[in-house]
Amino acid sequence: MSKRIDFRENYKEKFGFNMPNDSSFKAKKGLSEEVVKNISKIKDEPQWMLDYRLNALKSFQKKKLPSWGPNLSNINFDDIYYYLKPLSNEKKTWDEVPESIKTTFERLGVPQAEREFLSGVKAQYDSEVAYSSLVKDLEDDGVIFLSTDEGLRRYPELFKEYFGKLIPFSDNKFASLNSAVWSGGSFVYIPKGVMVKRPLQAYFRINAQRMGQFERTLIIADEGSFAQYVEGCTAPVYSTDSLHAAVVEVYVKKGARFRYTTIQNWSNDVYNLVTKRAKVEEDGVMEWIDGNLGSKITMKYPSCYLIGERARGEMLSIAYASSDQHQDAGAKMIHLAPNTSSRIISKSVSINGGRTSYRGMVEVAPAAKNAKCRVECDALILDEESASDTLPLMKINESSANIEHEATVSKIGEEKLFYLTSRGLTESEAMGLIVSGFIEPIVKQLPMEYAIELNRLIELEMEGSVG
Amino acid sequence: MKTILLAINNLINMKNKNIEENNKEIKVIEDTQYVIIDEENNEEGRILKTDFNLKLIFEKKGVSAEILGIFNLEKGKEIKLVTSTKHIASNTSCNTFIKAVLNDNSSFDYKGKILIGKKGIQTNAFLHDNVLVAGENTKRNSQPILEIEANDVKASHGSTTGRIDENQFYYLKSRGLGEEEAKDLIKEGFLVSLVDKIKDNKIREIVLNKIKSKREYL
Repeated sequence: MSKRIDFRENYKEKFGFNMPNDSSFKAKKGLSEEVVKNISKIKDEPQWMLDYRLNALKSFQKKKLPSWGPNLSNINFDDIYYYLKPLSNEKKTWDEVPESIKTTFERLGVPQAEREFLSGVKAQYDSEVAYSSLVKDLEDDGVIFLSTDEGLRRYPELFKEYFGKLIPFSDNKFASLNSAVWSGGSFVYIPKGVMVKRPLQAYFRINAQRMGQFERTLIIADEGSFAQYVEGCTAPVYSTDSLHAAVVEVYVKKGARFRYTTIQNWSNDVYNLVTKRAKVEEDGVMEWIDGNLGSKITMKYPSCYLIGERARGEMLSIAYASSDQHQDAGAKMIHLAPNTSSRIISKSVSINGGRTSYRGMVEVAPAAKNAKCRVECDALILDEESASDTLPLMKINESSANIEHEATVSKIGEEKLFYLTSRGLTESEAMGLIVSGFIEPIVKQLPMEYAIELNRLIELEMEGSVG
Repeated sequence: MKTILLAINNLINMKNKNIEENNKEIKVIEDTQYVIIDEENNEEGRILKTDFNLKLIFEKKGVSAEILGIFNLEKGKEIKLVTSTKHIASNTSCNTFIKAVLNDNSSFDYKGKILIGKKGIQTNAFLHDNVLVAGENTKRNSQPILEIEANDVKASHGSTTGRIDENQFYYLKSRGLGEEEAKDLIKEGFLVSLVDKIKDNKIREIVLNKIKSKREYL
C-alpha cells in the first residue's frame, strides 16, 4: 500500500482547474447536474460512473418522498452541501493523522492502545476517508479494505461487477440521491476461504455544518470467507438540519459469513435515511447488528435476500428515542430458497417524548420449502409523552414455512423498581440498570469497546430522567 | 362478563352485507365477547371469498372485550379479516385470539390492530394470531400492528404459522388412525382450544359443530 503511486491524487491539487487553492473543497450548496459532474470530475471517475450518477440524479428528481412513516417534508434539499473534501488526504500511519481528528477520536473514547486490536482503521472525517491503515497479514491474505473511491480507482473491474447491482439507483428516493452524489464509504473484498479474525472498523462522522453525508459501502464476502465490519457514527451537535443517506450493499457468497455492525449516534438534527441490503447465497450467513441512538429521524430497514439453500439472515437492533426523535427501524427478510432461516430481534426504548417504531417484513416465496423465521420485538416506554409502534408484515406463500412473530410493549415494572430502590439504588440508577438489562442480549453481540461505549451512552442519557 | 355474541349473527347475514355497515365502529360499553366464524355450509352454495372488518372502540372506563376468530378454510377459500381495537379510556382490556386452519389452495389475510391513545392508561391488550397449515399452495398474510401512545400499558401480539407437527401425526397414525382421520383430529384439537373460551353454551355448540369434521371414517 505504501508503494502506491497515484499521480491523480495530487494532480488535482497541483494542476486541476476545479480545485480551489484552499485544500478543503465544498461543492456548491444544493443539487444540480453541475454539482454531480463536478464531484465526478474531482474524483476523476470513469465515464460509466458519471453516467450512472447522472441517471440517478434524474431518478432522484422524479421520485417522491415516501408516503408512509415519519414526516420528512422538512428536509430542504437545496440547503445541503453534497460534497466536502477534508483538509488532508489519506494518511497511512497514526502519527500522520491531523491533531484535530485525533482529538475527536479521543472524545469518542477510542484509546490509543486499542489501535493494536484493530485490524484496519478507516475514519471518515467529513466526506472522505482520512485515515486508513491495514495490517500486513490482512494484505497478505488478499483482503481489500479501501475507501469506495479508491476501490473504484484500483479495482475497476471488480467494482463495476457489483456496484449498484443489489440496490439499483431507482430503488428509492434516497438511494437515488446517494447514487448521484456518493462519496466515501468502504470497499471490502474478502477472498475465498479467508477468515478475518479481527473486525474491520470504520468510523464515520460529519463535522461541517449542513453537511450531507452520502457514503457508499460495497462488500463482497467470497465463498467460505468470514469477516466482521464495524462502523460507528458520532457527530457534534449543530443546529441546522442535516442529511445522511447511505447505501450499503453486501454480497455473501456460498458458505461465507459476514457480520455488519453499526452504532449510530448522529446529533439530534440529522435525518438518517439509509438503504442496506444483503444477498445471501447457499449456506451463507448474514448478520446485521444495528444500534440507533441519535438522529432526528431514522428510517432504516436492513434486508437479507436469502437466495441460496440453507442461507441464513439475522438482524439484531436497538433503538433509543428521546425528545423530538423518531426511530423508525426494522428489517426485511426475503426467503427465496428452501431451508432458509432468519431471525429478527428488535429492542426499543422511548423516553422524553421520543417515538420508536419497528417496521419489518418477512416474505416467504412459494419455492422456499421449510423456511423458518422468528421475529421478536420488545418496546419499553419510559414516560407518558413517549410512544411506540410495531408494524410487522408477514407474507407467507409457502405451506411448509414456519413463521413466528412476537411483540410486547410495556413500561418498567413497579416491582422491579421497588426492589432495586429498596436495595439502596436511587430511582434513576435503578432505571438505568433495568434499561441496560433490557438491551443486554444485543449489547453482548457487540465488540467489547462498542459495548462499553454504548452502555456509557445509555447511562448518560438516562441521567436524571426519572419522571 | 356478560356475553353478547354479535359477530356470529353479523357473519351469517353477510350475504347482504354492505360495506359501510361492515366498517362501522362498535362502541364497547359493557364486557363483551365477539366470536367470528365463517359461514361455510351455506345452502345457496359456497362463498369462496369472505371479507370482514371488526372495529371496536373503548371509550368507557374499565370495560373489557374478547375477540375470538375461529376458521377452518376449506379448499380454495379466501378470507380477509381485519380487527381493530382502539383504547381511548383508562383500564380497558381486550384479548384477541385468531386461529385458522389452512387446507389446500386456501388463503388467509389477517390484519390485527391495537391502538392505545394517550388516555388509554392501564390498558391490557393482547393479540394472538395462529395459523395451522394442513394443505399445499396456501397463502397467508399476517399484519399485527401496535400503536401505543401511553406508557402505563401492557400490550403484546404474537403470530405463528406452522405445519402440522410430524410427531403428533405419526403418533396418531401409530395408534391406528388413518391419515385423514389423524389430520382432522389435529385440526380440531387446534381450534377447539378457542371454542372452549366461548361463554354462551348455545353458541359454543354451533361453533363446535362447525369445526367438527363431517367425514365418515372406516
